[in-house]
Amino acid sequence: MILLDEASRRQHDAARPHVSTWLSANAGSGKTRVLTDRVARLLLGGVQPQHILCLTYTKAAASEMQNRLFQRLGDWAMLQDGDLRQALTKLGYTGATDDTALRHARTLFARAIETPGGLKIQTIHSFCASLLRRFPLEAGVSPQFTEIEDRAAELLRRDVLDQMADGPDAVVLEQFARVYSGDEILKVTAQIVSNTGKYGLDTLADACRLFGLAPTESRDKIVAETFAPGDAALLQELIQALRAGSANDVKAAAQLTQVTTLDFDAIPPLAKVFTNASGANVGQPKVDKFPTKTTRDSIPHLIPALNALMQRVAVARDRHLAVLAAEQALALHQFARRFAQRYAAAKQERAWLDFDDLIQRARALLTDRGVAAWVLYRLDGGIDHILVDEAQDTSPAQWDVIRKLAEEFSTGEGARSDVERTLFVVGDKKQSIYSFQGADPRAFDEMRAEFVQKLHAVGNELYKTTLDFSFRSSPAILRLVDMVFDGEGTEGFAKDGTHIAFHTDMPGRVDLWPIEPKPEDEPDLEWYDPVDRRSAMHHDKVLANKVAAEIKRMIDTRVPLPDGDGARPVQPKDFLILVQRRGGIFGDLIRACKAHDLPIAGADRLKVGAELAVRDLGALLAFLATPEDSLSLATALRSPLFGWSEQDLFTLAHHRTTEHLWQALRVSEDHPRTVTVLQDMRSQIDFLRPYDLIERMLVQHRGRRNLLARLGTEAEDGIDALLSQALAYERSAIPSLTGFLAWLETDDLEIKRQIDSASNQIRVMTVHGSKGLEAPIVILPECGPRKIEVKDQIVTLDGVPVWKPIKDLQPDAIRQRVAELVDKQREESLRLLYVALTRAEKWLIIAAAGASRNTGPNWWALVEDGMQRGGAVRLDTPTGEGLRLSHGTWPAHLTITDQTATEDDVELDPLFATPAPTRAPAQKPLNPSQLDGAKALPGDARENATAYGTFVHLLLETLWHQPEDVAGRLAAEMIATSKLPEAEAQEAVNEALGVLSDPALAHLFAADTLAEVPMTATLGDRPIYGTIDRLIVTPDRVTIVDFKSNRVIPQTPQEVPEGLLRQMGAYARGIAQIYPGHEVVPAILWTHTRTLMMLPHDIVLAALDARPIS
Amino acid sequence: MLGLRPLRPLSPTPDALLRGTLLHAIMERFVRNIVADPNSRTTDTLMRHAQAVLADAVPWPAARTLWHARISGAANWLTFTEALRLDRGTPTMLEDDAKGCLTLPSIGFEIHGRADRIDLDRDGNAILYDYKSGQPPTPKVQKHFDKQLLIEAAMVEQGGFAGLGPRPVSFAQFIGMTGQKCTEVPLDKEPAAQALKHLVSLLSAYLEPDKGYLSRRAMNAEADERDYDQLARFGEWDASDEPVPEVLT
Repeated sequence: MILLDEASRRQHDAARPHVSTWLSANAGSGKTRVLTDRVARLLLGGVQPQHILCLTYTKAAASEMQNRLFQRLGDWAMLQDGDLRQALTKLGYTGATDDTALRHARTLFARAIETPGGLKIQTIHSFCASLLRRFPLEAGVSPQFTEIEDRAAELLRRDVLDQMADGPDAVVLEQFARVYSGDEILKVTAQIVSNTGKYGLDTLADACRLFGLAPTESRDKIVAETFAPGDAALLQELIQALRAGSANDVKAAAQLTQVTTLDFDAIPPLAKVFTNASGANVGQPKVDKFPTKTTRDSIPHLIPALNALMQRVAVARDRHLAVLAAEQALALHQFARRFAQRYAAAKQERAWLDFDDLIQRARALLTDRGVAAWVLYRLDGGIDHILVDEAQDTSPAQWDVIRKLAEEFSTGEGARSDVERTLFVVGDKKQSIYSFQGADPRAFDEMRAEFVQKLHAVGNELYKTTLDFSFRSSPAILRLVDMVFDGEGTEGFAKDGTHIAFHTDMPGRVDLWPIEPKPEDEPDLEWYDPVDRRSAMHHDKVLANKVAAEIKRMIDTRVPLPDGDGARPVQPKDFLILVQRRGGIFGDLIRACKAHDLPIAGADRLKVGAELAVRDLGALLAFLATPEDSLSLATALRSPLFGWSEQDLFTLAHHRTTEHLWQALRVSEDHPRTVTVLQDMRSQIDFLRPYDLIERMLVQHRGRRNLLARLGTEAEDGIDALLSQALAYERSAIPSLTGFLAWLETDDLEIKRQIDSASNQIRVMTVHGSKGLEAPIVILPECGPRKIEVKDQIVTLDGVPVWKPIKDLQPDAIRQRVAELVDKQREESLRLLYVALTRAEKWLIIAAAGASRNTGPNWWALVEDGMQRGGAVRLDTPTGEGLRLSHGTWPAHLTITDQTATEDDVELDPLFATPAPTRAPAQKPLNPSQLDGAKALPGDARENATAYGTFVHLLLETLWHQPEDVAGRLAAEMIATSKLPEAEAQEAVNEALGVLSDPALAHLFAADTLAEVPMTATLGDRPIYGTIDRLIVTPDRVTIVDFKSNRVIPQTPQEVPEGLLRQMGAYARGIAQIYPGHEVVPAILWTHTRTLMMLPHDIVLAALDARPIS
Repeated sequence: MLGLRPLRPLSPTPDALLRGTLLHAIMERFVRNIVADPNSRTTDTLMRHAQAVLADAVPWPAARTLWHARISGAANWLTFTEALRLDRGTPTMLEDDAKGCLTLPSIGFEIHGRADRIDLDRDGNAILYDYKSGQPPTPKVQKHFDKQLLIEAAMVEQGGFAGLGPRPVSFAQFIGMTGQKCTEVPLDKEPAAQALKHLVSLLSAYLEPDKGYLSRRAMNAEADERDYDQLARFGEWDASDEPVPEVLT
């Protein structure tokens, strides 16, 4: 029995396969390992792979887990008995480890791979998609449904919008257009279709209730209750008085003049004058405060009525906003319902499902009582054990699917009620950072409570446990994390216990760099000053440069990094730089690292259309489509595709006399290669599809090589994305070049790039993208304050989506809701900080640029506060005097130095430096019948001899196995098609039939003989190829028979013409290679005399060797 | 310089450029109508013109509906402020006939332009307007980038508009439909004559052979894209790199 430390014991407990478990796991506590362990133990326990469903959050996580699992199972297959026993025990396996068990363990790898349907480790979307594919009828989807691409979905929404504007739904669109008519309408519709079920408002009364108004509320009612009959006159008198008053009063008078009639629309301008715009009394009427005292004193008789009016207007203002919002909500709902219906119908027509559809259809499938029982019955043969990873980011709809799947477990019944079933959920509320995809961290606790109850009801228990130990980080990092989230400003962060370092001795440090200040505003140059101005050194750029310089310094000076018990020099791959968003310092960092000559993995996400290489190819295509597009041509020429210099282009473009650049280029003699390539491409545009056209440029004209040579290997991603775009386009439309260009123009595709942690490069990515990753050194350069905004145009009130008016026009209900959303985002920002901090193993560097520390939620300030309380000491940093929190003794010297060799330094085998030798062209095989030497005896020269011979051969080949009558008929037909004169043809037929009917020759045409045998062999070093007329193979002898229709027949083998002897010699030598150990007998059948002449072996070989073969 | 002009996109989309053109057309019709019949300064008239122009020029049904709604949201304001404009002067030249040309003999240059609208006040001074379908330029943007009305004013003062003759310009204003805001051009702070002088000096600098033409001159925001970015290989360099001049022959 192995003694386990506390941390590993917790992991073992959580991986016990027969106990349903709910696991809260801190960052770095090894939850993926627990998950793989658990699957391995389930398999060891005899569970069939197809009965396990493991749901991960991303496809990358799914393949990562699958790899880890297969790695382990694969290792087992190869281990010796003792080692395997130890591995199983270490895993926590407690069963017998006899030979049978070991044999079983070794088969698991093959079994997991070969299982029909496979071991299901997938995302919930993939699972739902496979469910729908299995039950399309039941789910009401087309069996051939496809998952819609974002771009196609957007185009479809645009079409639907146009259809609405043109059809009977124009009215609802018009009404909604009064609410919103901006450019982002397609984004709004995307938000609508992601939440279709919730648009049920049908009457204004319902909408009013939502905003706390009486259902009978209306514009008229508000007007009637706000304005009294004398108010118009009162205003006129007031305006007169104001005009004589102070500057403020005069301004108020001007504003009041805009109000011409006292109707609904008059309320906002009146409220603007009559109520406080800001401060503690915002929205309150300025009773006895307006107008200014002097003016007030001049109109004492108006004051009581004015105060009353101001009070009524203040009340009306809120109602006014609420009614407007209610009207907008109603317009939104009416529009959204129709839009969603039409959109759904359009998708149905095309058999398209989007991501939400997959989940919702699967949920509906499992919920519909009529079919759910059937589906679950069928599935029951499928899933007994459900494992859910990253449960904190699972959205409510996804939980619904899981709940339905688990229902049978929790009711304890099913098609096979004797089978054991378990649920395993692992997650960390603190790491819930995907609320924008519908995740809700509270659901984590709610679902736990629900499953506890459900399992309890059937006498099962849900084992709840936590993993508190971090296998990843040094105590310095963990102490900082605990300090930060104990501090002020972290309300709403679901802190659940502290972090315990597993490696208590691991040295670690946290550095805080002071904020890089904003640059002094440089005086702007005058517009008319034609100076080529360089941009101001923006604080982000400055910080990015400092970060890059520091990394450079650390690598160059071989700063020691603790590794195990020793220390090794830092390497580029040790660095992980995390930013909050792609827009800020991100690009500056990548540029700065490149400028410092640091190996960097590039952006983890790229805009395909913005890639230089893609634009270059785009310019080329644009020119091909429109030769008059001189700008595109010029762009292509300057690109690496053609590699023109500035001067080249200037010479051609500036000095040209023609209108279009192409005309000038075509007749120019300076660039023959460019012209050839362009002409070749132009000649292809009407025949090649866009994909092939691009490929032609890339491969045949070496475009890819040239682009990569100048732009670096990362250009490859953009190029490949363009190619796959071209393929995607060809699937969706009739492929034409112009069509493709138009399609590209409106495209803003972004692709994710997998950043490989194995290559020795610095990684820069967003915190969201770093989920699940770790690195020895983590730099957070973007910790300054961020403004939190609610960007969605649609927010929910009590679960009902409503339109969010602009800030000044939000009624109380919406303002409160927006404040709640801001608060939620603040909480999520804290969780994001948690994720960011816990990526670090040993060294964490915090920096910020720009704003000072006291504006808005601010990671930098939180960390500073935590470090102060954690006892940090002063430290000189690249941006000034900062702080350092450390643990243990950071190694001062390198103990391991041999790790500096990276794969870049690998010495290449010299073989790769020498070009491969050019291959000699393959020799053409010799035909034995065409070797040198006479083919006939003197006096045997006839016209048509060759044609005659060929015809005899053909006859013999065709007729030898036919019955006599058929042979006769066929021969007659063949005479008709022969090119020989009829008499000669008839003679040939007689000759052939004579041979075939000669009893003395019957043995040559027996059923087991071979006709027309192709033969290949070598003669010296030359290949030969020929066809042997007849081959008679017996166990110890091979007879080669060749038909000859010579007229002058030699009497003895010695007299046979040399060419024929040599031919037979070549056959004999070839056949001897094919049938070693057989006696080889060459023979000629003289068809004219029906004589079979055996040729002695030595005669034919002597003839063959008498002359060199050529 | 190189004689290279970008072409219009293959598949036209309802973009801001078109929206601007339409607003101009609508306002032109509206103002002509008012000049002919002063009683027609109503929101209804404005929207009738809007309807006609949109139906004529916008083939995308959804965009038509949305733009209609947008104009209708600003219609009251446009109608109301039109009264102020009519108070200030009389519409005299509208787009199609407001074409001007000014020769700058010192550098052998001609400026061609079309004014959105030129009114004349009671003293016979010109008033210039420019319609913006979006926001009007802020004073800062005007100071550094948006010189359009100033140069237009200079053209008027120099008699560049044939039908108008040389006249002083008393007032110039951008009319922004989104946000319903008008911004005045600070003719007092930067007189048109001075702007013209500066323009001449800028142009003459570019006529010097050693002065390069830039693809990204006077950028309002760094992320903006320009037509000639790719030709200039922007992306292989960035704005803070030191430019390397190259003499081309």
